[in-house]
Amino acid sequence: MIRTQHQDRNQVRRRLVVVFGVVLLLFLALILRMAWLQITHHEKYQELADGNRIRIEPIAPIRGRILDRNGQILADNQTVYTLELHRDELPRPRSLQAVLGKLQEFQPSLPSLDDRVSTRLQQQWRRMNRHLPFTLARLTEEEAARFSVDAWRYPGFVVNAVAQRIYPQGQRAAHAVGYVGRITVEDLRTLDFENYRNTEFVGRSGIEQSYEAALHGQTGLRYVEVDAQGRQVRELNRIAPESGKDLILSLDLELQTFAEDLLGERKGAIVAIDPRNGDVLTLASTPTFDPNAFIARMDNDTYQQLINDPKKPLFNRAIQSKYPPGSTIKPFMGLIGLESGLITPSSKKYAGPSFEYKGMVYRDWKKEGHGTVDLDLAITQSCDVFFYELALDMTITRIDAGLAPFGIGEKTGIDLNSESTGVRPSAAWKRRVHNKPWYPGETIIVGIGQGYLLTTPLQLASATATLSVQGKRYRPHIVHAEEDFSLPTVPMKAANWKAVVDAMTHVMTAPTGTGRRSAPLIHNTMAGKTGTAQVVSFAKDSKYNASNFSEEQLDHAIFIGFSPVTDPKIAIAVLIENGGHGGETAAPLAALVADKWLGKIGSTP
Amino acid sequence: MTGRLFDLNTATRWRWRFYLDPWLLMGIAALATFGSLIIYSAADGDATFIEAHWLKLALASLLMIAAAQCPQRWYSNLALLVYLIGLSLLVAVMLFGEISKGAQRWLDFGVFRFQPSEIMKLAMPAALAWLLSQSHLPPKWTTLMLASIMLAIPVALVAKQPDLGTAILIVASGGMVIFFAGLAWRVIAGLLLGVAVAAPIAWNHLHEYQQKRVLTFLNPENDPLGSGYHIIQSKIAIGSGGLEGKGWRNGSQTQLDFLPESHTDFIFSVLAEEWGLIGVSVLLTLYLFVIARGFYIAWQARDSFGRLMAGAITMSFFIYIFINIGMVSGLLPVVGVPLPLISYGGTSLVTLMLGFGMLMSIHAEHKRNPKRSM
Repeated sequence: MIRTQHQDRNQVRRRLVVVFGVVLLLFLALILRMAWLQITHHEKYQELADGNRIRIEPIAPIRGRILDRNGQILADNQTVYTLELHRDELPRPRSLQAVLGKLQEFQPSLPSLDDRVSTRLQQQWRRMNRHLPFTLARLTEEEAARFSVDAWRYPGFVVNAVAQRIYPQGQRAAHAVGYVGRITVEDLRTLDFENYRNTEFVGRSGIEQSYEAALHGQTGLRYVEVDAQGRQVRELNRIAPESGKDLILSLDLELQTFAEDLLGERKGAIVAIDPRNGDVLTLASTPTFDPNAFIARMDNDTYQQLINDPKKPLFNRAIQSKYPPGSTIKPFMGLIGLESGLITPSSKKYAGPSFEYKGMVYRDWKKEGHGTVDLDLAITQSCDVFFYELALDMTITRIDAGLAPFGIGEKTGIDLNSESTGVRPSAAWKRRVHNKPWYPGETIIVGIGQGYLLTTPLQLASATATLSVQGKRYRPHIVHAEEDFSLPTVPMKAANWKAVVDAMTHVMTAPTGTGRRSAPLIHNTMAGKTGTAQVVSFAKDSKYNASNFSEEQLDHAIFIGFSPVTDPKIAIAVLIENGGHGGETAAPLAALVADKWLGKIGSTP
Repeated sequence: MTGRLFDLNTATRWRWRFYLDPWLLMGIAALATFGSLIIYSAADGDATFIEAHWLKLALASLLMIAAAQCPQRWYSNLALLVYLIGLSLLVAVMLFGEISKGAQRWLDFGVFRFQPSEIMKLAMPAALAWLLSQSHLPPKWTTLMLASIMLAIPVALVAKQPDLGTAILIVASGGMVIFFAGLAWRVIAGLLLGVAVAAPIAWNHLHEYQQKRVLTFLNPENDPLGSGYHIIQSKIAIGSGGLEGKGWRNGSQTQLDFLPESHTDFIFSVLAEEWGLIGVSVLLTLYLFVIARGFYIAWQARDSFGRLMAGAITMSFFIYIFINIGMVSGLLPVVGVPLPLISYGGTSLVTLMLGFGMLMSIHAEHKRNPKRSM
């Protein structure tokens, strides 16, 4: 027993001796390697180290400006003064404590340099790149001048002039233009790090976001020779930065301003498109906000206020909000009906007070009914019963297929991010989303633009533009480009286009037309369709009475239209949340905007 | 007759005593102090780095002290269990890593993140030492086969993560146990011969792009903008240090940030630049002192488990040192291995100090049970 234990011990001990011998040899090898590098080749490496005195510094490019179609500046750059910390140039010890001590010396004379700066320094001290300037605060011109006089006493603290974003029009077109925000750690994961090495801001919404790559430009480089302490000796070479591109919009600031003022304090959107090319002339969404607030270090309260405002000012209603289109869908339903052959311009239907199907009663907005009507009258007077019956005859499959070429319930592809899709219902859609079969009763209310059907104001404006030019379709775009924006034409018979356009003209001109009161507001001819989107459904026999509802429950007022009727130059969609009847509140706005535009481009009858 | 109950010769009797090995402790303290000075310089005099480093050192030291107090048999009894836990965690990481696309080495327990491959650095030698000490040495063929399988599975899992540095350290620590236990020389010769014969054959079967990748791995200076850049800058730092060095906090390579990862994997280059060959020699002497003490503990250990485990822990420590210095001086390919007790922080610090605690525990068996001499 003892003997074998001794054998075990000696077995391991022998191996330990061998391994220790190898360890000693390897240590010797390491020492020899070090001697070879540090003694034999010392001079060669010393020279290489002395040559290692070139530092590469990035130079941020100037961000491209954003201008409206007439050259009015919507986003610009201004020179601001910043106080920077250059850690390389600090006297030793270059510790955080020493920097905070220095800061206290001159902080009282610079009101812009508030206490948050020391918190920020403490948080980021270890993470920041020692060789890149760190921005401590923005100074006023006066502060910058005052500090510069004393600057020699504070090596390492440098006043610098930098370009910063400014939105000279303030709240105007804020949703379309968007804003930039300070780059965060998360951004750096997605951005091209090399190109954003010295960039402070990145586009956060609107054009600023969707055209970030073009607006940003290319970062330049400076090759600087430094001494052993890292201080600059001279600049060796410079690759100039490439400024971002200026963007010219199709948007017209004057028309945009006019539209925003018409909406005023109300929640709503006005979208105007040139039907001849898809130029977005106006993309108004109210309430709006001042994008400049995002540039100056916004205090948290202001930001929370914007985020939590029940009116959602940051929300771009023109492209992000989804509403039932209401009766504005009727001209499209009429077109699909005509094209399908189920009706002709002269076929008549009896439209009583309501439509019954399988025991369910679908009422018309007009209590006594419209009597016998044809398509023209049904559109002019916005007869519901006519379209209930037509929709049921057409089936949801045909409606779905008919609305698709107009882009209803699809992204229009406008050059802005975060556009909503909306909903164009079909049996397949309902199965996919709700996992339930489609009921014909649901087709009936889709016929008057209620139910599952949801559109954005931009979609409505774009579909209206397509309708106004007999199916010629363009992708709406807000930034001007020498590019063909044509989309596949909607194929329909010329007679059918004419029948529906005539009916939409009668909406504005006929004594019973729902938009007739707005016709005097425009000097030119106009075609249109009013709509009212229900927010709450009400009981069978009660009459809709606005005074019974709180503001949030009031119907949304909608209007689509274009002008002039022949050779249209502007197509418009107006939406006013809780605005009541489309004919009363939305239609006049469309007429005024169209009139303003036609007056401006000199298109008089 | 009545005295039998209190018979001092009873082998199972042992005394619990507080124990720390003063020689190991001195060596570790000297290295940690040296390390702090270098980190301070690499961090451009930022004391917050040192504070964070010391906090980690202090926590790891507490673990070491606790580990030194546990009797050796706890380690041998628990070895297999911890090994199996470590193995299942590695499998968990593999399944978990599949979801998050590839290089996932961490398990997230919400409160803390944890790298299961780290467990294996100690669990692997402990489990093999336990297995091989069950029968007399040198081990039989069957035992050796079992040991090889136990070694191969976790290593394959870690290498697949992919974490080559850790895989090498696990192979080395487990392989050392098998070697110490007495793997026959002719088997070792056979293995070496096998590698020597297989390598050129395998080489010819590789695609050109695969060959290129291997070449870059072996000689990073082929790739001066990628990993080669680090090695070139590191060699400049070391070579320009000369005999006496440029002086503490005066190394231009370090202070101008040409040296990458200067406070972690490449800290040796900071030392070599600022303290010269003299500083390097001091560091290597300190390391050799700690290693020699580790070998002495293995030599003196009570039983096979203690000998094998002490030898393996000491050799892991050496392998860390050799790979790191070999890497930064351009002798070995770039593998992410820290310089033990000198590099800033790191999970490996905890494993390392635990290992020292186990070394101390193995040596403490003499004090706990002085009667059972062997």
